[in-house]
Amino acid sequence: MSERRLPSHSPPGEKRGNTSWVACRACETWFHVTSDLLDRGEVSLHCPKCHDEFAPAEAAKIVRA
Amino acid sequence: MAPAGRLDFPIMTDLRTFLAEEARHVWRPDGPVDVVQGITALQYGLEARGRHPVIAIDQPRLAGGAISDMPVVTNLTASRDLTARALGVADHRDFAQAYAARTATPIDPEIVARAEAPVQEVVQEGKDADLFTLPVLTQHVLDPGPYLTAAHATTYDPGTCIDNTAIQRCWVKGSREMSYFPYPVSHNMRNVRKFWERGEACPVAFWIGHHPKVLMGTQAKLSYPESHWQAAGGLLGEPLRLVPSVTFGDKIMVPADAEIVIEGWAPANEWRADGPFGEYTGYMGAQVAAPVCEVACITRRGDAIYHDYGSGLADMLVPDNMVMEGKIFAMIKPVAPSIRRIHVPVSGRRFHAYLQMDAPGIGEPRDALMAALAYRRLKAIFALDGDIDIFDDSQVMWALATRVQWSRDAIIADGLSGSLMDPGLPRGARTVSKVGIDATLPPSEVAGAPQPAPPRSGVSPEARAAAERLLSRLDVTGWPEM
Repeated sequence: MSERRLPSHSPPGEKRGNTSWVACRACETWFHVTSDLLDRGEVSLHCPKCHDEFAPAEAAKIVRA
Repeated sequence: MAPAGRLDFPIMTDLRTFLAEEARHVWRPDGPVDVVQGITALQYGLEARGRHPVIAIDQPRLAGGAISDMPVVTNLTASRDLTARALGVADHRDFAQAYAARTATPIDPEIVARAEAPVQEVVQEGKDADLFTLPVLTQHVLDPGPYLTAAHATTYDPGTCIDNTAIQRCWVKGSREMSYFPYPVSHNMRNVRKFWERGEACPVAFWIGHHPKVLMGTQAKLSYPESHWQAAGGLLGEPLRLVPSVTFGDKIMVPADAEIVIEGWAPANEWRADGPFGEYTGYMGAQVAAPVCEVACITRRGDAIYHDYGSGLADMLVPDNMVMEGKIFAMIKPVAPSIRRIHVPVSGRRFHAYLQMDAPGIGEPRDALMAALAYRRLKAIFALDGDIDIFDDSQVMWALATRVQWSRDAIIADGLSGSLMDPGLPRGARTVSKVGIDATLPPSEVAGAPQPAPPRSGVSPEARAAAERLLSRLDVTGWPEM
């Protein structure tokens, strides 16, 4: 699993998004999740496309805002 | 849709009486319509046309192709006119005052026996309870599955035994399992946590389908812990009929004249992923951690109607926003008596409010703005004069364009509580930045003299009436649009 953490602060006046994305470990579909859900670790993520359930650590990719 | 033909129960104020009252505004498409996006697509299509009838689907086609024998009603509250009339308010523009007044005069509920409760005509417990027997819609292309969208969750505070009710989306994951999402700071989530801190599962009952008076009464903004049943009675003008739930008895009462009730337990500290789900913002809400409900029992009328709210559409925004108007009116009136009407427009989702004021005194528009800024969901509030039709976005934009100097008239406040579903929120923020804009004209400073501002341009009422008589006889089909 590769996790990319986006910078936590934005320079004044510069827009940066607030959405974290996960790529499903099975079908690699991207879906967005709250940081809280990722932080919990013990709650399985649920791919809305193939319905695979997996721990955050098992995600194909994570881009965390 | 005709009211129930049954004679077993007295005619009560319920979903059926509303459908009967508004029968000429109910559209009933011929033939089957898919519960997977098909019904919701009709709502999108009608909304694009600016038309908002109630939609009754007699043949909902389930995901597997079978036709459900339980009809679906949606778009029940997509029209401001219909929603206001449901509460006996002739002009939807006057809704805020009416809602504030009626919820301020609560009426205690009435407890009825189970034999007098239509919603318990059919009782399915244990393995007989099957969520898949309900024609639950999958509304949006990116939703992960079917969601109850008009489920009103009733829980109670284990300390005081006082109940609370709020709409909660529920993802049906199994025949007796669903996740549901009480907002983290909500009163229902406080109740859930209190049970969990004791190591106990939280009892919960979800009821579906009732008269809009009851649906909107249970959305009243109350302190914690405080039951919503009295506020619903205030809107009804009579006691709301309640019945003890099958599983929890008088610990959790449910509306006796609802269509369907789902009773269950939220096991302690068990969380499931829930979403993404199409939200009121018009965007998909992110996947969250949510409690799970293990279903113990489903009760319903023998000929139950399944009620669905089109999430993110006028169907859900209109009643929510109109309830907000009533709540905001009650907050502003004590500090700004010139407040006349309030509009929380569908165009602004739940983030904008337009305040119409009658000849406000110096400083009064800003007083009103300060009061409204405290309302959690709002991000931008606009104070406007009585000559501006606040139900017409283009007139509001005209007032903003011509009556505002931004550095003078904008009140910006940071660090306030707000919706964390706002896609515009800065990364990592837990509070929001809000603005109040005074878009009123300055008041007259000399008694009897006009305001120190230019008069509106336009034609005389007589000339306008003559023009309307001519134009009304024309067929304008095919003429250029703007």
